[in-house]
Amino acid sequence: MAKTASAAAARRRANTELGLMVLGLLVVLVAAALVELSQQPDIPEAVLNYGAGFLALSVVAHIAKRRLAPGSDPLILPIAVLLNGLGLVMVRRLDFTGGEQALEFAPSQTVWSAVAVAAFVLTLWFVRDHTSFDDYRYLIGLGSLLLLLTPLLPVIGREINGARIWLSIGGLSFQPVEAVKLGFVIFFASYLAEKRDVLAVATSRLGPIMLPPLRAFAPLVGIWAMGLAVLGLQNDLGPTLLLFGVFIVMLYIGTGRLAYPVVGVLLAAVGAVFAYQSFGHVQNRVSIWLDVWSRYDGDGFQLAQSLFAIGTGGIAGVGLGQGQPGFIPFVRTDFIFSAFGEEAGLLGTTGILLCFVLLIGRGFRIAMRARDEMGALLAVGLTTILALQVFVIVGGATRLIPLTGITLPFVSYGGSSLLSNYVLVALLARVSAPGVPRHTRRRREDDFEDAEDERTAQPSAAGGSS
Amino acid sequence: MMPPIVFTLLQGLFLLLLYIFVARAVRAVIRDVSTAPASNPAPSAPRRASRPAQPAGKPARKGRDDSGPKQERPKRIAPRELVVHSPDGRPRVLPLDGNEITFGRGEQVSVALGDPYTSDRHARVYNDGRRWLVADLGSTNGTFVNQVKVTAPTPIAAGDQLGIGRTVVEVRK
Repeated sequence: MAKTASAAAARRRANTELGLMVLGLLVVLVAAALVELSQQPDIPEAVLNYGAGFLALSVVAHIAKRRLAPGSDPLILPIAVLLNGLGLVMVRRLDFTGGEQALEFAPSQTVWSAVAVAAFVLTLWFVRDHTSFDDYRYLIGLGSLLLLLTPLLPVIGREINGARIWLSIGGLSFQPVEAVKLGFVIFFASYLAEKRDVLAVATSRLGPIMLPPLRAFAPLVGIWAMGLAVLGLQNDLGPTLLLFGVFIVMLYIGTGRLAYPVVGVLLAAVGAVFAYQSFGHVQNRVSIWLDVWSRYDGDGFQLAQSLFAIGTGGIAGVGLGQGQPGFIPFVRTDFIFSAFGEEAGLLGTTGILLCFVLLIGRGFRIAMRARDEMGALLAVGLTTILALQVFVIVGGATRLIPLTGITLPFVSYGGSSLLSNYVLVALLARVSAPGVPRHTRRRREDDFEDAEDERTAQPSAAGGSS
Repeated sequence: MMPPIVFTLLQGLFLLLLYIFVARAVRAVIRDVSTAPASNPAPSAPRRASRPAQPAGKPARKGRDDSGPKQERPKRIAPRELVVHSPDGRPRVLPLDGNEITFGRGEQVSVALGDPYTSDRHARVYNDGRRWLVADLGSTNGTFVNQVKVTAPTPIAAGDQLGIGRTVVEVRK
């Protein structure tokens, strides 16, 4: 009986997901139609094909999730697909700035979407239980560390726009940090789930803060030093910021010791001062941030154009396809949010941010309801990655904080980013799924059965005697 | 070229649909929260109960609508023992023999719970001379009696369920 009840619940969730998916695709469809019609009287056949392809991809993703992770969270995939679709529409729209009806970046982004959805399905297929990562914990950790350093290798490493964070093999470029961030979170989650007791022991007290023994800070300092080293070698702030931030958050959530974020922030401050003094481009970013207008035609051009674009958009935007977002350098990757600011306005960008808020909120909820600590920490880490990325790049593009080039998850042009974010959502879905019947799960399932009875007992007891 | 009004309408439709999507998603979240077992901050306390205090009745699913006027239990039977159901591990039976019992994750409690959702000093069960009461000790996640959060010392009776983090404490006669 409980089996059919949970199957019914899973079906209900899947149908919720389907409904949201249809609605999200409708949003993308209208956006795409607007972009195409604003540029040309007829929609080229190639565009229709790519659109149909994207539609097929979302159907595949939905069916795969229904089959492979029944009962998993119904919101995360539709939101991912919507953001992916909107990003695709904007990348296509920006292709028009390159020349006559050019299809320049949109086809490759569609292909990457297909690869990403394939990775989503494969992740759900292979990872039937997130605790199976425990067996490969150190392999994953070490592999991620090595992968992080691969761009420094002579032949396959590439330096693009001053940052040595690229790997180029046979014409395909890839940012290893996108895979590394997932690997690190899996490693941290598995490591912390086991070691959190040791790290949480407090031996001394500093005012209101209980201090763990000094050697418990070793991993924190280690990651910090590694982050700074990577920053120095690769000349890019993004990975350092992301990995160190995620590590502090996971350490805090895992142990509940305020000392870790406090020490972490102090270390970050020291690191920031050090980075500011030793790296010219960091100084440059900060001074642009502080005063963009005196140099709007110099090195502040990009940020100034971004602010002009957002300002031009106003409340409802100038209309998709009808603005001039092409003026912003790197608008496809780092500044795609500003393009939406111009063409979809405050309402459009707020809508996009709300989608991120929902996605991140669901991620934390998945963490709270995870069956085990590894799952909870994994979900927290993955969600924090998303949150940090959105905050850093949207904050950078709107001049809230100094600019750090990071992709806006799902929306920005970029294959490796899209791929890793779909895998991230697949892992979140896996943690949120009620679980596969394995020997260790048997007992828990029985508990669920009781929970069904238990939940229904309360109301009827109250109502029965009335 | 199309008349500009078409673009304006399409832009409006785009934004409207975007917000309908957000609204629908929020609605799905609310529905999920109100029907989920973990509708109170003691996340999965009820789902962990391996022996429910009351046998199952027929499903009356809507968590919200049936709260109605709160009915007192017909008879309040004085409690004699507590059964602690940890999320993992065997149930422990604790006799209520006059001494105060404190629950928590720290070391200065009489019953140490290995439950990450509890505070160091979480809750206490004590006798004020006439009856047994449960009180929260300023815990982060709160203490629950029959899934209702405790704000002041609350009398307990046999058949009640105390929620402390993910741990369920069953009150028996």
